[in-house]
Amino acid sequence: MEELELNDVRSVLIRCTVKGEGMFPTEFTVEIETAEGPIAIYADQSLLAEGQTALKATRFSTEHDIAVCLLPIEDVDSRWVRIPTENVRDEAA
Amino acid sequence: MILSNVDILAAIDAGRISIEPLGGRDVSRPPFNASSVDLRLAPTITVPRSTPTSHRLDTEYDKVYYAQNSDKYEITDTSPYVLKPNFFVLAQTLETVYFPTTGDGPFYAARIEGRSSLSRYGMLVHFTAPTIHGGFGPARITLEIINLGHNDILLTPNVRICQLIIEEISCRPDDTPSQFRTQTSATG
Repeated sequence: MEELELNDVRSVLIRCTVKGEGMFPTEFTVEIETAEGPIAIYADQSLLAEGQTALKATRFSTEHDIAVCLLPIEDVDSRWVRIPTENVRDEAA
Repeated sequence: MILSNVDILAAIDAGRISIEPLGGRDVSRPPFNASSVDLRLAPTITVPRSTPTSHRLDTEYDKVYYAQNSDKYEITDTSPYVLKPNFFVLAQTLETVYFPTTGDGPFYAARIEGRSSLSRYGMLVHFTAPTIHGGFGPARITLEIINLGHNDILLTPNVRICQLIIEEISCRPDDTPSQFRTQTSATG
């Protein structure tokens, strides 16, 4: 089996695209690209960074070229998402 | 384990929970209760319009369309939102909350509950989605409000609308099976 990178939980930024307004003035509809395809979520502006091109999240592990991340929102089918590593980077980087 | 008022403030001071802006630090006064903290109503009420679209529960809905077909009302003390009986609106807490899953822990989750002093009006503030999971935020909490009473309810900003009950999670949420949690590499 491939070696897993465990116990490496850290804050990350996931590349995202603003698709439109949200349900509240401080909220946007954003789209992120997962390994299974794009998903749209409502994200408060406090969760966006870098000119609203990145979504704050928590990365739990990386296997092959996929990062397993926990989204910081509730209004989503699953808060666990698998993101291609090219779309994820450390928040502090 | 549900956190007491003292433990809530301690967790905030330790950086394991964030509630901003916190309505006060005296744990014997609002926003603190014995084992919860009250959150206030933000000044926007959102009302989804009636549209020809049905909601399919097995399909991700069009969030842009839903947002565009919602009316947003800014409320003030002198211009409250009049919540009619059997009417449904969305709102948010004034406070931004954060339950980090980074660091060494402890880790927390929470539930939104109504306030007993408001419940006898027949108002529900979270009637389907009370759970705030570990890793949430920093963001405002969305409230699903409905008036099941017989009279209008006036929604004004900053009113203490709900309470947050905070619990410690048994361990850090993880994406790996528990039997692998202490391993540094997987073996076949």
